[in-house]
Amino acid sequence: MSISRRRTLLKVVILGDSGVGKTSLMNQYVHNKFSQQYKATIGADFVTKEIQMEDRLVTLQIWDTAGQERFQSLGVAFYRGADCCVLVYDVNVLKSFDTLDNWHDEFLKQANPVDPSSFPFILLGNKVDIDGGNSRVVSEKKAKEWCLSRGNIPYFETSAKEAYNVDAAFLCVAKTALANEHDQDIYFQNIPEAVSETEQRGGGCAC
Amino acid sequence: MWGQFFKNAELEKMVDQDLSRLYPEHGSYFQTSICQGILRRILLLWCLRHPECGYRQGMHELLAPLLYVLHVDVQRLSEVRKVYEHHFNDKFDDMSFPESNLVCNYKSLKLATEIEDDANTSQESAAKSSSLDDLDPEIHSIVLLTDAYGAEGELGIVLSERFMEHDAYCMFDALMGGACGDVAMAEYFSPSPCIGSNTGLPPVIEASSAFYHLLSIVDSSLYSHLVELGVEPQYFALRWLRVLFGREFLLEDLLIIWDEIFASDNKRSASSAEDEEFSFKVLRSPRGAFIAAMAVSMLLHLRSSLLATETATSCLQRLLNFPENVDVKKLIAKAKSLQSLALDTSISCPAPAAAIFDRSKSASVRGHSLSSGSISPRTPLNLLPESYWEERWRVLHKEEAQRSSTEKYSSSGKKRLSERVKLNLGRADSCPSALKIKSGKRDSRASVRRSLLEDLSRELGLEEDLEKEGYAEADSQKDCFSGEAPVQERVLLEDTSKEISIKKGVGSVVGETSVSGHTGSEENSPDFSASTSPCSSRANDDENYLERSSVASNSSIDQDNVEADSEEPCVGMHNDPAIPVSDTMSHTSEKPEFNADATGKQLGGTKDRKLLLGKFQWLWKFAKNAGEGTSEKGGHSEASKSPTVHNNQNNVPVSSSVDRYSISSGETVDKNVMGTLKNLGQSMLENIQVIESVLQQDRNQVGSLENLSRNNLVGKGQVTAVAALKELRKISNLLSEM
Repeated sequence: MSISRRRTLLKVVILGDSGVGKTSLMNQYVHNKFSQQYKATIGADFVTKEIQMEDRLVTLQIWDTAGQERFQSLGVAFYRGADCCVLVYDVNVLKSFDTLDNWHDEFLKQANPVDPSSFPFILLGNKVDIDGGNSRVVSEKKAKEWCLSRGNIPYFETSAKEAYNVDAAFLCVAKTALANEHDQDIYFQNIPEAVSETEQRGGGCAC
Repeated sequence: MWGQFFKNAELEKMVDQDLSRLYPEHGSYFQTSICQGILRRILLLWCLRHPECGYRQGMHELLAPLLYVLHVDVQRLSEVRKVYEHHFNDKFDDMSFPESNLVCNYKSLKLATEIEDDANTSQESAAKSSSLDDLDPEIHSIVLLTDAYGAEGELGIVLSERFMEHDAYCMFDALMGGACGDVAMAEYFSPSPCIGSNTGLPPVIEASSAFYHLLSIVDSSLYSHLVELGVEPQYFALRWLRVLFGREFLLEDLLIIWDEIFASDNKRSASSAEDEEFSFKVLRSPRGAFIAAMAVSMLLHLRSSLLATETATSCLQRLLNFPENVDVKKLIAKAKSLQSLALDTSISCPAPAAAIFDRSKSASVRGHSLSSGSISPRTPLNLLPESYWEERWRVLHKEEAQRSSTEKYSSSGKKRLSERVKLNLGRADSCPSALKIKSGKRDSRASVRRSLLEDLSRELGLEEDLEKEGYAEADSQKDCFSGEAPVQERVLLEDTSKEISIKKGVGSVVGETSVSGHTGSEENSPDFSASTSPCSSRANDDENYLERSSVASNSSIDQDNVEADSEEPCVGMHNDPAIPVSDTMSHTSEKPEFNADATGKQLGGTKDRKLLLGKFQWLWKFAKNAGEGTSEKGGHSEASKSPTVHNNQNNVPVSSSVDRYSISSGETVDKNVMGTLKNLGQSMLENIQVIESVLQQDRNQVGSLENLSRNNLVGKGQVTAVAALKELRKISNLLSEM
């Protein structure tokens, strides 16, 4: 029982406008690579990464979605059971910031989590490297205000190209999602059915 | 007015953004400003003319290959012109049409039309001396076709760079709109269900359900594996369908596939027109059917690696990263063979979806094969309700996290894994043998081996569809008839699907191998071991077969314990076809003798079992389950238990190794896994040697008895078997090297 507790699968969904660098962020984080040559994502793609967090081995299942994809055509399947949602915008493009509200709300609508108000989001302002930051149009302050208004969402400024802050951001993703999952565990234990199921499994491990 | 302006600006931005990311690795052509310009204009124009669709990511990748083909053709023509200059003396192009009339309406069009004419003006050519008839036939035809006054028409006009953009637009438009046909790619980008849809799903989701449905008929074990894991088709099919496999293949390969797709008629086939109510839209036309068949063919290509996955995560990873170096021709050939099936499928949709997810897997799977073999009553579409996936996800998500941890650390995880693999093999070819009822370790080994073999034999046989269908049918027939006259039935089957049975024979040999060596000597039946599939232990199965198969369906439904070995009933069903006729015939006469033998052994066996029970809790569980499964059968229970007992006895030599496993599993985790793999490889090697020696023997005795008549076929089968063995050897070597 104690062994199985240490390993967790977390589903992370990355959302944001087309071209803000979702795929780049994901690949920088997982493969430590950056390429200028990413194709537009069609539908969705995903990668996994295992990280060690304290005593747990956490498998992050990171879903990269097409930026243009409107929710309904992608299907609820991609959002179902997400443990954390990563919102990405391009600090150099105002519109990608303005649409965050839309992404945020639509996600909650589609994923339909148990407790929408406490569902873990994370905001990443990407491409801070461009032009030494001179071309940025969304200030850090503005982004943080938005985060505050949305229930104090953690915020990171990143550059997928220069691998700046990417690891830290995803570590935060894992932590936030884990914390949320922990809450859910407690919640689930009140349901007898769930308990008996885990007990059975525990018995299976022992022998 | 301004709204429209901004909207268009946004559209342009979006298109530009995607175009700049189009085939970055093919930079040479697609990233040139000429190409980008053409693509951009076509896309913008199309989107403006179809505001209901607008631009959707992926459209650009449908257009690009079209333009590429045109471009390559034009280039080829101009190359030929350059080289064989003097054959193009009828300078049709020099008659220079007034450019403004022809070159569409794009003012900004800046095509380098001169390139073509350059070819005509430069008078230096190496090929001047050769006469027209000396030319290579391909060039010859190009030249002839280019003759402006020729009867064949004017290739020079058709393939002119001036019209390239125009042509590309028309082709793209036809592709997106379907050109009055059934498959209109634009639909796959639309989030709302299209008119005439029975499912109320977005077309792309409906289409992916359709090919899952096709898969369920073609390969129900793979299908149920995917469904079990909760792998929804749209996870990967969205991309497959939207860009018509453009992301899964290299451009060269893609063009071949597209040729096939476009060669298929896009008109609704006559027969399905009446059946609209029951069919998937995509399966109504030959083209749609081919697309679905292609997707299934791709899944089948990944079959073995998909079946080997135990979690949705790993499964999807394989699906989303389709291997690059595939034999496209093979895939297409397979898809073609499935195409007609797909068309038929749209007419009769068997097997209500819900049945598949019952606990009684083998029963439903059997139902499946039955219905595909016979004319089935019309049932509603085989669509999994959204709620199913929802539910499945909940369960699996928990399981996946847990399983991934447990299986590494404990034997029970292993067991579950093997259980899963076995389940998926369900109705499958290389059947589990009675000897499967062994200790967990042996069991998991056997099942892995079996799955490998199954895939192997599949690949080797390269399943002409007929063969497979025949097989499925045979299987189901067997289920119906075997109760009455198993022997005749077997004979009949043997004749119809000899190769299969040989393959299966090999499968079962491997499944049993190490034990079969012992049993062979114990029961003194050298004549059996000399035949293609030697296991004399089969004699036991053989006599139990009747009883067990008759109650098989009951027990499979009754089993609600996931841990329980649901294989047991399957054994009854599938074991049988593995027995070649030569065996069967001789067995039937000797049955009574074996019966006595078996019951005699049972007594000794139970003692053995008790001994073992002390050591292995899970073995006990296992045996108990088997017992429970059979106890309902009352009088039969004795008989059907005997293989279990029998196995235990045979297992005694094996048990020491099993013992080692169980102890070490408690201690060093990683070592255990590695050790298991190593052992697996080694035992596989041993088993292979056994089979090889048997085959060798067999070859020497080919002349005897019934074999004489089937000499040729057996020989052929042996070649296949030997090839399979070689592959197995490789695998086992790999494993033991780990």
